[in-house]
Amino acid sequence: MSKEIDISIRYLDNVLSSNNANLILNSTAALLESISKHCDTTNYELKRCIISLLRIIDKKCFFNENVDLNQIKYSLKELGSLCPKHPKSTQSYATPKIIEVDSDSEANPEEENIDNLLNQLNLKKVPCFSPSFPAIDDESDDENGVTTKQKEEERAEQHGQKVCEEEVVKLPDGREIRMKKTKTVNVKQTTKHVTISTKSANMPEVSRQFMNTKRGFDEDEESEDTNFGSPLRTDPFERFKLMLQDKEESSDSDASNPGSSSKTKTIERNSEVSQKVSEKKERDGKLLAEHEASKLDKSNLFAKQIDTFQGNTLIDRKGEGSYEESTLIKSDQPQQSQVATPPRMHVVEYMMMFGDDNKNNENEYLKGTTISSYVRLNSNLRTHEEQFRKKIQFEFSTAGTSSTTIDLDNLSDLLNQTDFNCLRPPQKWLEDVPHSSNNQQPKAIDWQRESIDKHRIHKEKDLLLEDDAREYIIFREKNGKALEVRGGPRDALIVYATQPGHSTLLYQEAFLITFRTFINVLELVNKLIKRFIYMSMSTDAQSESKARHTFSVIVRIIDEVTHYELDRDLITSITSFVYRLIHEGNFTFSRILRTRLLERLREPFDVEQFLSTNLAKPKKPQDLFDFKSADIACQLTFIDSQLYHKIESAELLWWSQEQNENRSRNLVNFTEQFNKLSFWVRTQIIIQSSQKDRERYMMKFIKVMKHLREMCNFNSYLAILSAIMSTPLARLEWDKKIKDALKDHTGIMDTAQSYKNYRALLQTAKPPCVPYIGIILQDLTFVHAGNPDTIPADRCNNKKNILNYLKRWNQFAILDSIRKLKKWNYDIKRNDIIIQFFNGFQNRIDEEKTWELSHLIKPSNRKSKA
Amino acid sequence: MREFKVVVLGSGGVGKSALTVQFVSSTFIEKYDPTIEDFYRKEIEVDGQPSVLEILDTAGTEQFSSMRDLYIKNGQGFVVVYSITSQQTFHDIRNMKEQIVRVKGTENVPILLVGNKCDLSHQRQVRTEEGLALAESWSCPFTECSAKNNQNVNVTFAEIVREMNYVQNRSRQSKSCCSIQ
Repeated sequence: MSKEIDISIRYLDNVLSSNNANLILNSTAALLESISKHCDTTNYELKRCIISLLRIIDKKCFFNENVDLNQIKYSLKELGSLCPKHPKSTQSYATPKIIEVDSDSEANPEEENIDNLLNQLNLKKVPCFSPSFPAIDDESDDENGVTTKQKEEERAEQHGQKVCEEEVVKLPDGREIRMKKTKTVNVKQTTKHVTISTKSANMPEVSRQFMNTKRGFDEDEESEDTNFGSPLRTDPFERFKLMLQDKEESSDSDASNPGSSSKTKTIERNSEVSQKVSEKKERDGKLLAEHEASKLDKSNLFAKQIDTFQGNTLIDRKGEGSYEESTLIKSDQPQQSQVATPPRMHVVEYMMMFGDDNKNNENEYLKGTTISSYVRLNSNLRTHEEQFRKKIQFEFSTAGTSSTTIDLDNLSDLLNQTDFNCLRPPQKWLEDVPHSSNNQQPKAIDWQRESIDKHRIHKEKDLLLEDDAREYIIFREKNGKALEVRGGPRDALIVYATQPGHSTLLYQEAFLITFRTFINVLELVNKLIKRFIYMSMSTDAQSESKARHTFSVIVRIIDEVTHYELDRDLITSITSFVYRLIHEGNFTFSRILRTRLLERLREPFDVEQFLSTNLAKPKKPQDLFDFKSADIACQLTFIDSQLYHKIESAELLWWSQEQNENRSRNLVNFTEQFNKLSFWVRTQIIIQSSQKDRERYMMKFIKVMKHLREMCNFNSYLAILSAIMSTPLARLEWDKKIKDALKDHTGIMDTAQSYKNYRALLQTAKPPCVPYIGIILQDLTFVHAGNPDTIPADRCNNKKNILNYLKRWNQFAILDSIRKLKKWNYDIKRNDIIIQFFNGFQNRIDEEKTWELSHLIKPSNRKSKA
Repeated sequence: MREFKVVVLGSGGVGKSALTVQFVSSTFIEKYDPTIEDFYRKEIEVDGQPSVLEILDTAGTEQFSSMRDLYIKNGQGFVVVYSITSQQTFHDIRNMKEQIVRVKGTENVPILLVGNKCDLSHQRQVRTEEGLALAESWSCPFTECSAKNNQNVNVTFAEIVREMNYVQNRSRQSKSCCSIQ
């Protein structure tokens, strides 16, 4: 029996007294993990014991209730004695679930493999880099002069690839056969182009070209080594590894039944493409101009895939890895925008959209006017995502929880054509029962004890348990082809989100971001759990796949659940579902769910603490001029981006419907920072007693503002701008120098034409970027106010409560850009000295006082009302 | 054609956005896209004279107190909205006239006071007389309307146009008076 369980039991026992909920929950998770590895979790006694342990621990840690610690200790003791009695059974694979290709799933598992990934990556070409240099003026008309223009291009490519395959076959007598193959391929190619054209007054232009190419290819022999019966330690990440290292080297408890084998394939691939282009122009040997630009693209893939076979049948496939890509562009023309032109489709998408061959047509983006600025912003963000650096972690498995990327083309197309003429009505009209949720709060359900009678349920009509929701949904139609969801009854929309074979990635993402506009999390989770339980009662492959997909939607919802929503009821529903999963022997799913839940249980963010420092008071009082403008801008950006990343899209969505500060805590923190900064800046300027000092401060803030704009921090940028343009300051007399310096900025705040100027600025921003959230809130508010929640009954067969999904598409378009921007972050280190100087922006006077000072400096010519 | 910039002010939740949406699109429209440039523009004919209103509605951004100044600066006429179902929202706007006057630097500002949500009369917390009294102290017109039922909405915006016309004419007159003297 593994010592690991012993250790984790003892560890948990020890931390119990600490009363630290986080610690207890994490060590419980570790215990569950080791049990799942070494014990037969299908044993009834063991399951019962685990569930009762979790019940008390959850009561203590999630709900902060007083529990009898001895009860926990007793459970632990029982667990300690039960575990060794039920080691992981070698029979557990006796009835393997053969994962079949779902007939209703478009993602073909055959394609979800690592070879496909590699092939697609190999097909990816770095586009030819051709910056355009400004034309070199040749003004002199010297008849005898000889002008030489030289253009040089140097391109080097280097790709290395190492594929390692390891196969382990377990024989009936317990021996193992291992085979290992390694293949390394290196490809090198360099080309050099030189074009020289010479021109003199009475000679036609002559061009000479040189080209020099070197190619290298080297593939080393396949090294193969086979060995019999050697034990192998796996699990390099196991936390108890050190404690166990000297023990039980040979007890391999993972022995499988005869005929099973596993294949592990790892791929390491790196590639480097460097391109350099230069141009030179000379006249009579005298250099007129020279330009040079270079670009370096690097990518690095590390991926691993494990296939488990039963005989010749693939029963499981799992994969994971990371991919890193970076692009470095150097140019003496800083304003060049065309260098940002990315490859049309990048590898991330290949990875995430296995088997999806839809090419994106970039030009499509710019069509259309609807939510156009966001669609354009989104596409701009995508462009930049391909520049600089990106790193992604990915995983795929036959369990079907994979990440997704959005196809924006569909979205802009979708928002453009909204006329009712091309709607496809559902095959069946179903009226949603009026939502009782408005006056009646949904309640927690104890899913472990809830009984679902499959036969009874089947008689009632429950959309939630339907196999396929498509026949209830209204689609938009184009040339007889169903396009995207336009509306439908609530439950049909929920079920449709669990049908990845039919609904698009775009739909699922939009559902996850906007469902809060028609159902609350608790109610939704309860509905999905019900569907999952119902589906997992049948053992056919179809139902199993439906249960699995439903489960992955539950996981995604938990992943993005907000602190506000995680109340007692929701936690009760989720944890009791965890117990039920354990009870049903689905230990893997129960652990996934529990882990995700723990990750969301973070303490709320404390802004005051974040803005305070531990530094001792500085000896001499500091002022603004002790710091460089760029450094101040950096620290403001550091603060903003930290606060910005805390905002959840749910908070924005809620805000557009009802302004509740408790629900949208992080959003309120962010807006408060904006206001604080603005009033702090006003204060700094207006409390200066001399005109000279006020101008000095003003100038300093203009400089800071300029840096902020360059860093694309529009939040602080506008906060400072709003201070400088505020009437108490703007009405005073300012030096021409200051007025000139402000000229570039004042237009940005023009509210005309729905903030046309600001929107244009944001659209061209290079991420990382912190947007001004006010306009986003305003847009969401108007999308909410202007679009009905349901489609009018006279347009859908007199059925009421048919949800208007177009409204959700609009909301999604706005919120998705927020999410995209959140993927980026600044590489700024916190500078405590400056943060301390900010002093939480507390040194500020209120609006009234600002006006008073302003009138003191320059008396009002308006007659007082009194 | 005359063009006016109108700013809609008031606390969150008083139905400003509904009022604006109702006005800029009086018929049933499938979609509302606030990001397009002319979303907030509308032509209106008042007393036989057509003009264009560009509406700046601060709905959603009420929390940005530091921006209010800029909104006011950008406006020529002001529609100040409260909800008749909430005393708090009425209280919030009590100093609004003073704020507007201070930013604009003149007493001559076209303002209209609007009590919204008059369809919810059973939840009324602010009596019509209270609204009237405040309007009187501001010496500005007053209406009650319902954005939800499209009741008095166009009347409201027509009123602010009249007010802007009136104030403009008056200041022109007073200027010409001054130059004569």
